[in-house]
Amino acid sequence: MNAPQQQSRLQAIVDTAVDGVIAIDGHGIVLMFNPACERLFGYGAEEVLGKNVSMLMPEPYRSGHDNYLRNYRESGVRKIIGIGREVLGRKKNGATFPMDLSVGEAFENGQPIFVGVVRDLTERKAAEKALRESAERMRAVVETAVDGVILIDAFGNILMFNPACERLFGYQAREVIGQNVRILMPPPYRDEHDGYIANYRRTGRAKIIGIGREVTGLRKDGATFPMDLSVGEAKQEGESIFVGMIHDLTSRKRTEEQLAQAQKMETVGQLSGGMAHDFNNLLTVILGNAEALAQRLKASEGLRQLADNIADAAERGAQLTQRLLAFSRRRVLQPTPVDCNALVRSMQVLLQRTLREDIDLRVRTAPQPAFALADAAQLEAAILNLALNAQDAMPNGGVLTLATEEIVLDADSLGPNTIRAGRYVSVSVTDDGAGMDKQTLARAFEPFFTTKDVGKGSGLGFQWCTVLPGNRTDT
Amino acid sequence: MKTAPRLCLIDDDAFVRDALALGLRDAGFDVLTAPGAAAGYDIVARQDIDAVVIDLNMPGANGAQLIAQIRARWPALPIVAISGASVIDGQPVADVAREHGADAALAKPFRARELASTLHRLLRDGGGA
Repeated sequence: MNAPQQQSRLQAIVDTAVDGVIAIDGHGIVLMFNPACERLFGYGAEEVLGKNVSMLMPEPYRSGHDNYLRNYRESGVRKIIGIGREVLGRKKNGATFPMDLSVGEAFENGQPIFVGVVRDLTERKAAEKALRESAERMRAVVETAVDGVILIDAFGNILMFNPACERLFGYQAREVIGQNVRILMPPPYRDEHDGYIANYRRTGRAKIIGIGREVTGLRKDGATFPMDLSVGEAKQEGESIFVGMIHDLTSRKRTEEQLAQAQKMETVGQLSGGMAHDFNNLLTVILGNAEALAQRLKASEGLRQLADNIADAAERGAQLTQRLLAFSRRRVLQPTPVDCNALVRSMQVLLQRTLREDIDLRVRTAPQPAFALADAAQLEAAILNLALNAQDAMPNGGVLTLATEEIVLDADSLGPNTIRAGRYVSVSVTDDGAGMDKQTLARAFEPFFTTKDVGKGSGLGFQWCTVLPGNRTDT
Repeated sequence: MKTAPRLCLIDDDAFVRDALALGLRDAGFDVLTAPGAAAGYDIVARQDIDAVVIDLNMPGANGAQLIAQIRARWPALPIVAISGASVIDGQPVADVAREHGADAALAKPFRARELASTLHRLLRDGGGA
C-alpha cells in the first residue's frame, strides 16, 4: 500500500468512527475534528479547527486547560495523556455531557500532537442513574415497609432483613444476616425447612413459593406469632433467591377470635333467649302441679316428699335458665354496692358445710371493706360454683383459698375489648390442684365447656357472667 | 253470692293456666281462666272480678296492651303481670308491666303460693295505686 492509499484508509477510519476523534497540537489548537465529534459537540469542523480545544470544555476545565498543557510540557507529569478518564464536554449550545476521554501522544515534525478519542457517556450515565434511583426507591420501599421483607439464598441463608422484620422478630439485621432462616421458625417447621428447600430444588414442586400461606413465626424471646408469608423466587447470577413478605396476623387473629367469641355469645344468647320463655312456662306447669300434688298428699309424708322433690328440681331448672340468660347478658343483672369481704365471709359457713372434709378452706379478705357494684346473688352463685369446681380439681384434697383484694387496672393491664380501666375488687378462688393446660385455659369460660364427665358439673363457663363492664369498685 | 275473691287468669298456655288455677284455688281463690286477651277482657267485663293475672307474652295478643285497656276502664282493679321472659324489648319485665298499669309482676316459674300472697296483698291494699 502506498502512502496516499494509507492516508486515504486512515481518513476513512477517522471519518466513519462512532467515537469522536480529535487532534490538538502542544498548545491545544485543534488540528482534526472528525464527523463523530461534530455530532457530539454540535460544531462543524470548520468552526473548531485552528481554535483552542478548551472551547469544548465547561468551566473550570476550560480555564485550566492551557496551564495543564504547559505544565505537562515543562514537567512531563500526565493526568490524562496515555491514561484516559471521564470528563465533561461542552456542546456548542452550552449543554454539557459526560464523556470518556482517552488521549494519546504522537509527534509530527518533532512537535507533540495529542489525539483524543471521545465516547459519549450520556446514555450509559442515564442508565446508571435510573438504576441507582430504582435501587434507592426499592431500598426506601423495603426500609419503610410495614410488612417484613426477608431475602434468603437457595440454601436458606438470610441475605436481607428489613426494619419491619427487626420489629416483628426482635432480632437486629446484623444478628441474622448469614444465619439460616430456620432460626425464625418454631419446631416442627424449623427442622423441616432445609428438607423443604432441598426438595424444591430437586423437584421444582413449591409449597409456599409463589403461593403464600399462614405460618407461625418465632421471635428472639421465644414467643410465637401468626403471620402470613408469601414467597417469591428470583434469579441472581443464575442462582435462586427467595423474597419473603411477612404480614403479622396477631391483631387480625385477636379480632377474629373476639368476633368468633362474640358470635358464639350471640348464638348462646339467641338460643337461651328463645328457649327461656318456653322453658319457664314448662317449669311453671311442673312447679304448679308438684305444689298442688304436695298439698293433696299432706297426709302421706313419703308421697308428699316426692312431690316436693319435683318442685325443688323445677326451681333448680329455673336457676339454670337464669344463669344461662345472665351468661348471654339477656337477663338484667341487679347490681348494688356489695361488700365483697362480708359476702365472702358469709359464704364461709355454707362452703365448709358443702365442701368435702379433705378440702382445707381458707378465707383471706382485704383489710378495708371491699365494696363493688355487683349482683350479689350472681356473685354468690359464681363463688359457690368456682369453689365446687376447685374441689373437683383436687380429688385427693387440698387447700382452697377464697380471697378478696382491691386492685387497680390500668390500660396496660387490660386486653383489648375487656373491662374499663379503674378500681376493682378482685374475688379469687384458688386451689392447689393440677391446674389447666393451655388448651383448657383458652376454653375455660366457654358456656358448656367442661373437662368433667357428663353429669359431673358444668365447668366454669357460666361463672363468667358476673364479670361485666361497669361492675366497678365503688368505695 | 261470692264467698272467695274471684280472679281472672289469662294465659295462652293451657297447662300453665291449669297448674296456676289449681294452686290458686288451693289458696282459696275462685279462678276463671281465659286463653287470650279478647276472652280475658270479656270475662273481666262481664263477671264480678276482684283481680286479674295476665301473661305478658301471648302470641297474637299483647298482654301489655290488655293491661293498659283494663287499667283504663277499671282503675282500682288489682292486676298482676306474669311472664316467661325476664326482658321484653330490652326492658325488664317488671318495668314493662308497671308502665302499662300492672300493680305487680312475677317472672315464671314461681310457686302458686307466691302469686297468691301477692294477690292477697293487692286485694287488701287495693290496685291501681
